[in-house]
This record gives sequence, structure tokens and C-alpha cells, in this order.
Amino acid sequence: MAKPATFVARGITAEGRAKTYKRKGLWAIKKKNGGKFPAPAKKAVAKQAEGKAPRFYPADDVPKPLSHNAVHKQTKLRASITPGTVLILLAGRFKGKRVIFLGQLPSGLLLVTGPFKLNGVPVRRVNAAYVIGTSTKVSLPKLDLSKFTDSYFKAVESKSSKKGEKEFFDQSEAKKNVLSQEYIANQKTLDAALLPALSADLKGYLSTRFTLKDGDRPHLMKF
Amino acid sequence: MPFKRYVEIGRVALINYGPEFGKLVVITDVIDQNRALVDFPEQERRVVNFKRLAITDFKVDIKRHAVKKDLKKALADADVVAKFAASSWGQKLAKQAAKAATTDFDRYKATVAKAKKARAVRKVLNGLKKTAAPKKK
Repeated sequence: MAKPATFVARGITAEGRAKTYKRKGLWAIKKKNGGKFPAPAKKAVAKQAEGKAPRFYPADDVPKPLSHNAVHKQTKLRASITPGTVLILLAGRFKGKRVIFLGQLPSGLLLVTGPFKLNGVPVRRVNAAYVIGTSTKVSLPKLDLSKFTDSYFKAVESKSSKKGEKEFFDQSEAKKNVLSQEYIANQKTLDAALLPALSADLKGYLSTRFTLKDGDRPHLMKF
Repeated sequence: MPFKRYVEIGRVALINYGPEFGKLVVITDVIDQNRALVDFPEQERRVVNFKRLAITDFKVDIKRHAVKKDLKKALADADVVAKFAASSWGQKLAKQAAKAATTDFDRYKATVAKAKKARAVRKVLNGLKKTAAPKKK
């Protein structure tokens, strides 16, 4: 690799053209390609028939979309969160529940489960910001998590039909959201695979909620 | 009642403040009314305010400004570190440190053990109550 340039001031290199040429090792590239710099092959441009103007041209300026080269990298996980870590959920319906971390999804969210059998937390996605990672780790058995993708958790949009007065008062028509059989079966198979890996102590631990009590100072507590 | 512990050269003290909380040191010189020069093996010799020092019962036989080697030897001869750890003060500190180091899982296990113990005690106690005072009526 060529050495980086040294700058006298911002934008002004210490070396001139010839020395830069030498430093960058451009001569070596030239030599390798038979005395010439390798040029990218030019794209063949469709030739317009001579003497003929294009028949159409855009009447309005066509806005060119801005180039956006930002690549969304996956959220980096805290070092304390590894598959098998017991997490404490901090927000939402399941706040205070202790759950097992299964893996990170491409969206950056954490895939966790109670297991459902123990504390009622199904396989779900949580944001790492709303979680305390504990030092307790569960040695996970081999699990098949291929089903649990980001799209698996996307809620099915219910078609909301306009409710008239009649429908509003007629509660018997109201349909209850029913979980699909597949969803239930997936949870059951996962629980069945997970539960034998947990000791009786851990089962009790996972089935209790975390709470702060009088005199607890969470910033000084170890998890 | 006279004092039992004095600020003097060779007096073992405990730092009671800041990040060095709980560290043992030995007073090797008294600089003025407020400050002492303290030293200990595996620590740097430094100046500490007396407000930050809690004086212990222990004293080692060293000269003023004793070098590390002599200090180390004197401490080993008097067996200060082990003696302090065995004292009720040392035990209390160790207990506090152990409690602060408990993890969430440990705390859960402690609660369960406590509840289990209380249940056992209650069972025995209720049994005794029954035998001691048979029901009236």
C-alpha cells in the first residue's frame, strides 16, 4: 500500500506531483499494464443516426432522485446480551418479566421468549433499549428459529369496515382475534425444546417478575 | 475514658470514602493536623486527609517514612490483613461487598430460601403453640 500523503496545510500536500507519483507507486501499475494506466472499458453508446435529431425530448425537467448510499448496518448488541441471556423487559405489557434471549433479527430487534409456558411471554421482538441484560445465562439447546423472522411478527391488518350504528350496538357480530393454529404450534414446539434445558431454580426465576423494592438502587445493583 | 486508638506512625487505618473505600493503609507520617502520609504494599504512597481515614485497633512497628520492604515485613509479622478480615469490622465490610456483588438470579434464590425458612419456622412454631395452649371451649 502507498503511504498516506503528508499535509503542510489543509489540502496542500508536502510533496509535489513527481514525488506523489513515486509515493503512490503509480509507476508500478503503469509497468504492470504495459506502460499505460488501465482504463475501465467504455460503455458502448447507442449511436444516433447521423443528421437526425431525436424525435422526442422531455418537455419538463425530470427530477433526478438523490443518490442515497447509506447502508443500514445491523444494530450492535451490548456485549452482555448473547443467545441464552436472561433479560428483564422494562416496558410494555410484559414489563418486569424475565425472558430468554434467543437471537437478533435482521431488523436489529431482539427475539425473546418467556418461555410462554412459564411466564406467558410468547416469542416476540423487543427493542434492546427496553431491556436489562442480566449475567444469568441459559445454555440453549439447538433450536430451529428459522420460522421466527421479522415478517412472522407483522400483524395482519384487519380490514376495518365502517361501523354503522347497527353494527356498533350489535356486539354479537364483533369478531374476536383468533391466533392461528400455526402460531400456537410454533410456540409449543419451542417451549418443549427449551424447558428441559432449564433447572428448577431457573424455571422459578423466569416465572417471577422483577420489581424494585424500597431501598433498591437500580444504578448500583448488579444484574 | 481515655482514647484507645491514636494517630501515630504505624497505625493501620481504613479509607472510608471514594473509589478507594474499604482499602487498608498504614500511616507512615503525619504531615499536619489534617493530613497523613499513608502507604501500603501494592499501593502508592500518598497523602490522605484524616477525615477520609477510619483508624483501626491495629498498629505495626515501623519507622517514620518506612520503605515498602520494611512495611511489608512489619505487616506480615503482625498479620494485620488477616486479623482485620477476621474482626467484626472486617467481616461486616466483606458482607457488604458480597451483598453488593449479588446478581439478579442470586437475589431471587435468596428470596426463595428466606421464604422457605420462614415457612419451616412458622410450621414448628404453630405446632408448639398448639401443644402449649390447648384450645378453650
